[in-house]
Amino acid sequence: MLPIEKKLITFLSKHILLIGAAFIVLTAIITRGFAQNYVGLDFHYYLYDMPGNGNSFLYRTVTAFLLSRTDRIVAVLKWLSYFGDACVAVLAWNLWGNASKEETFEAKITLKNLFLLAAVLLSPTVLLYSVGGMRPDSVCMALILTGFLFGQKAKEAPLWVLPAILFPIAAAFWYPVYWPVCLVLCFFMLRRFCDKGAHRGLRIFAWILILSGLILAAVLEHNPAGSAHFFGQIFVIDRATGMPYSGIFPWTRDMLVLYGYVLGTGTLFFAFADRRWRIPALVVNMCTAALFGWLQTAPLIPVP
Amino acid sequence: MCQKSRPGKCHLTIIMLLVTIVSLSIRYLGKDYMSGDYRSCLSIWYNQIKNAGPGLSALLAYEGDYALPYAFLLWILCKLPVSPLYGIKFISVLFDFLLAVGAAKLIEYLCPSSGRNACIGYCVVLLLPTVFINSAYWGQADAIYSSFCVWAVYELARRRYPVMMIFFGLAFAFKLQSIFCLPFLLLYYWIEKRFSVLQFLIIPGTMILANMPAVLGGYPPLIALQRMFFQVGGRPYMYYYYPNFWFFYQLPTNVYYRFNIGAILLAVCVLLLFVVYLIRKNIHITQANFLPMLIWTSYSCAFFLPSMHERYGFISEIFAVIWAIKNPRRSTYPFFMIMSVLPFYLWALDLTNNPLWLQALSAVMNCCCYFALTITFWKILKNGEDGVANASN
Repeated sequence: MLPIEKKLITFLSKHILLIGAAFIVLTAIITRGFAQNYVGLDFHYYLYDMPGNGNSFLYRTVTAFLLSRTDRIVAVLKWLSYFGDACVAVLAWNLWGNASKEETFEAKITLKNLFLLAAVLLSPTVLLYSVGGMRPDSVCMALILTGFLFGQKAKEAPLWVLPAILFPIAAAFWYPVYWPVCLVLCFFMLRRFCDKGAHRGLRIFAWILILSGLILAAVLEHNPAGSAHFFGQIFVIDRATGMPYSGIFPWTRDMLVLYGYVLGTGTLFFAFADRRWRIPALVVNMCTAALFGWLQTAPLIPVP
Repeated sequence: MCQKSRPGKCHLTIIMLLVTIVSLSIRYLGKDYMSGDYRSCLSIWYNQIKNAGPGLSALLAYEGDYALPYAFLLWILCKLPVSPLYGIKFISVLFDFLLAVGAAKLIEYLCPSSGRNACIGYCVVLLLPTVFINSAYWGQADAIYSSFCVWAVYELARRRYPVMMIFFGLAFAFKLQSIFCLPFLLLYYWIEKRFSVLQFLIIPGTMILANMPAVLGGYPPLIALQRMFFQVGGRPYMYYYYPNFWFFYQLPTNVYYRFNIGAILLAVCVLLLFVVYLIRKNIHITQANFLPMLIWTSYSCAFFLPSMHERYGFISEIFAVIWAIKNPRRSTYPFFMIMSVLPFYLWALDLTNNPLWLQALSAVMNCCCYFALTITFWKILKNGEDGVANASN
């Protein structure tokens, strides 16, 4: 081997983590960029032309606002999901990546952080939900993780107000899917992270704020004039037909689709916190990706 | 692990002879069968060359998407007094035997204490249904590039790198799918640092030499390299019957070109993460782990790349069989890899239908096999094969 080759290989090996991270980010951007105008079946199920439009009041308001300002609604909503993906990646890095006191950015990229970055940006579940489906799940997850991050730091400083605001917003954004998720997370977080006795008043205030926010999210949902929404409609009405689910299998299928992102990314985060979750995370993500991918594209199967 | 028994050479020779006769008989039974690919492609290409005149310039009339060295073999066939059907299959069958011998040699090198394993390798490869269906019934030519790849890996194991590059060059000259072995080759180069990057130039050099008949027939000198990319994108579907992940996300043709680059980049990312892991953990490629590494990298290419045909896992299946013979505990992997594609082979011969539920079952089986292999491979990297820790050569 020539000396210059060895030098080049040594140089690249030294910076391999940075190269890997750059490539992953580039892949994530290119993959999302190419698909920004792709209209999957979700466009019909989750935006306009189906009987019981399943989106929340908040999301419909955001969509209406964006529609009034652009013709490229599909691309804009996709980039909203992509923004959520990016936020989730950054937040997951902070929460579950290897903490590093190094000052340079490159030194903070450890092997675990690299795998975490790849998992949250390129996992099939994430790609299907944001690239294929332009779902708001990633925005909700970003809000939840932000609340989680501040909740963790609340041991050092009273920051309970922030999660108490962010969690209801997440619940409202993809109501009612994330409503029970946020409620459970709040309960878990407040029990786990709040020292008993310390900041008791603040904890009670946070609880009041959270519950008020969640109730407000539910009330807002039932107020749109002329709408036929009711609490939990999405758990009862088949979004494809506008009629109640015809049986347990279509219901289960749709529930898995609704909660697929939460299950997929949630198990991923568990896997990075505890290695015993690695195989379950892999299984859950592949099953979710397979199911959601199939539902999205099966009606479009070409005949080569 | 390799066993230390020493059956007589005479017995092994007799067994190999018997298996040779049996495998030839099985292939002979398929000699008259005309597959759809033969009727719609191979016979047409043969006639294009035959009707274009006697000289090498007849290759200019060739309109097929197979590589020009293969077209040259068809040109030679045109000169012989044989039926094109028999001739085309004979070429593939010949390379079946080259493949089997290469597999035996590789196994013999990896398990020097057991002559029996090499014999088993020869016999099993010859009798694999995907191998004899591919050549003798279907009329396909996957054995050609696969045999060169196996011989290349054999030479790599023996550290005869220039010869290895020549074999890889021949493999690339015949089929672009040889590129599935490239990640492993690059990894070996990077981690082991045993040869110079200049030796990689032997590959395009060999490709150019292999295409010399076509160049003499009137093609441009660099047709070898231009032609390689001609094989890309011929089927604009994410899923094209190789039971990989894309079965669950089939997209129509009009959006294929939005997603194919992303899919290729994803496949590269998967391999890159693996490379990063090896480098950071300072894991070297040893005799214990190089086969699973080769299998996993080539299998990952077929698993994640879009537009994969059902035959494109051929080379990984062969290496998986070699691995299973070296380490019988790993036999489940080649079994499931082959079982998941076998329905498609039978469908290609019009022996069965190809209902969606069967394709789904194959895809699920192949996905489970891939992930099980990934987990096993991960454990091998951490703990070594059979618990022996990875150490540098």
